[in-house]
Amino acid sequence: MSKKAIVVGGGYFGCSIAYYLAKNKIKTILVEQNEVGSGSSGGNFGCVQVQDSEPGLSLELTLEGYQRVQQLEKEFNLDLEYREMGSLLIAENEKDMSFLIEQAKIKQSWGLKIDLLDRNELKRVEPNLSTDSIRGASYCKQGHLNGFKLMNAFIGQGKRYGLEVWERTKVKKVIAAGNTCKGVELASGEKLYGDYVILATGAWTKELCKSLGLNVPIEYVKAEAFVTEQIQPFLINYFSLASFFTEAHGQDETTTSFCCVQTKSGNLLLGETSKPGLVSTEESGTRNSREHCLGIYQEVRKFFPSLLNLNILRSWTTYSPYTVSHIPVFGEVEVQNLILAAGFKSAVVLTPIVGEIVTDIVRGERLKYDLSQFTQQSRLA
Amino acid sequence: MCRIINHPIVEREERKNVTIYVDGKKLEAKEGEMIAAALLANNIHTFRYTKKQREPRGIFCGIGQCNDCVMIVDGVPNTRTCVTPVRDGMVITTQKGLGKIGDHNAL
Amino acid sequence: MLVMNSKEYICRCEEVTKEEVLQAIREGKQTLKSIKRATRAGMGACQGRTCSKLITTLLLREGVPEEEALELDKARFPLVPIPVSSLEIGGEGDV
Repeated sequence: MSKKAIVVGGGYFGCSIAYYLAKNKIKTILVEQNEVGSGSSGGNFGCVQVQDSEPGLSLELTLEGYQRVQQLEKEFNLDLEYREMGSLLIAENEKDMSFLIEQAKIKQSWGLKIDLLDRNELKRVEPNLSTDSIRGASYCKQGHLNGFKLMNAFIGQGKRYGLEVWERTKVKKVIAAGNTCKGVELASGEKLYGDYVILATGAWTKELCKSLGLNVPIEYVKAEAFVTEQIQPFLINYFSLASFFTEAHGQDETTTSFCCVQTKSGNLLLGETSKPGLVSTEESGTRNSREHCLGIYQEVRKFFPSLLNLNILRSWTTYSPYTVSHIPVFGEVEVQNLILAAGFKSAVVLTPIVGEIVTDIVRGERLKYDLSQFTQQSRLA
Repeated sequence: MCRIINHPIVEREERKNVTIYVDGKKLEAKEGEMIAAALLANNIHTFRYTKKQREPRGIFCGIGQCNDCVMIVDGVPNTRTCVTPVRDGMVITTQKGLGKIGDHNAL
Repeated sequence: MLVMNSKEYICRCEEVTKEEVLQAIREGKQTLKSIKRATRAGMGACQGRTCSKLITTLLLREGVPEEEALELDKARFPLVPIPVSSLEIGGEGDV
């Protein structure tokens, strides 16, 4: 009899895990509280990020994932709007610049091709950028795709292998007997049982694990974003600030951080993350704030003044999960038959490799990676 | 010309002429009227070409909702011509696919 | 010259055809939001002002339950296109 798995969460990881499980003959049900791609994955910019990965296992998996993501269009025979795109991490002061120099050195030793750029070189790489306030940048070639197409591809292909997708289905709690996970209880009261439960539930993971007595160190920041009308290619690279790493996720000193990218359709996506203190998952917390309107305006004025007349079409907010240690919560934990996959720093690039690893765990295969560093921070109380 | 001069209800109103430049061509428009009205009066019906199929588009809803009539106006792409009044010396360009910021094509 | 095209456009901004919307419905999409994510219908300059009613009609015709078919996409700031420069609104609270 084939094994049965329940995947909770229809974001990047839930979709990819469900696909790889179904493809490997695991009877899989994906349960999503709203619709596929309606949470933080839907609010994501679609960047296939390489250079922001934490050195160590995270970076090793990122590099594996990067190879695989580039093959997905061929594997699915679908257009995911994948294209090569550089990533610019911008330093506005000496502190950020020395951070970039130090990071580049470490990551170059991992085989990553990272270039440090001064203002003149930056102007060549990103001609429409106003470099007045910039000290320098680090540059790395990576990719970009349409995140909705990626999730839809995983789901569509998974269904061919018998994947069941239950949208608008909220999981109330994880069912466990002793220290063994048995399944999930839905908000409707219905119970689903399986050999494995996989929580790919992002910012909600901490809450779902509480009833198991499992302490999961996932926090979240509120991210706010705007999409503009479509224009001809204007921004060449993915643009983000080094301060995101030097400050925004620090434990005490916190700040906001701006990023932007132009999609294949020509829209510019402008985003900023909140200070963690301002976060709430209440309904009111899904509105955009005046603070970020002003913040994004000021950043655009500083870096891309010629965009000030461009029209904004829509805004959104999302809860972006993170861990203080920058290390994801990924793998088997102290509760048997429960796999956690959340709190990753960059999602898109890791989707295929995370899906493959979860499949190996469920199938009882020997793992190529030692995930203990990703799981040891999630302990039973 | 397809401009209504005599209307059974609306009173006739004299308007000053202004000059607009459409794809480099000098044309006459009436002060205060919308760009789209001026173009139709000058027998121009194609305002843009779509980005995917490169098909011609002009007026569709006419009330600023649908964005079908957008053109590059004074260097601003995606300008809804049905709700943007003409200005003397205005530079208007047929938008082919996606517009470009600062795309001026005066004369 | 009149250009003949047998395609029926549902979303004029993103040039999404009726066939593409029907395909998404056949693949299990049951709401405006999920059809938007799958096809881009409603993501364009008019933000679904023109196509949302047409898509709702197609959803109902294809037998999608009213609860899903009639669910509106969330209205979000700024409701009408505004330039980035007009984001210069200080103060506290939400928009």
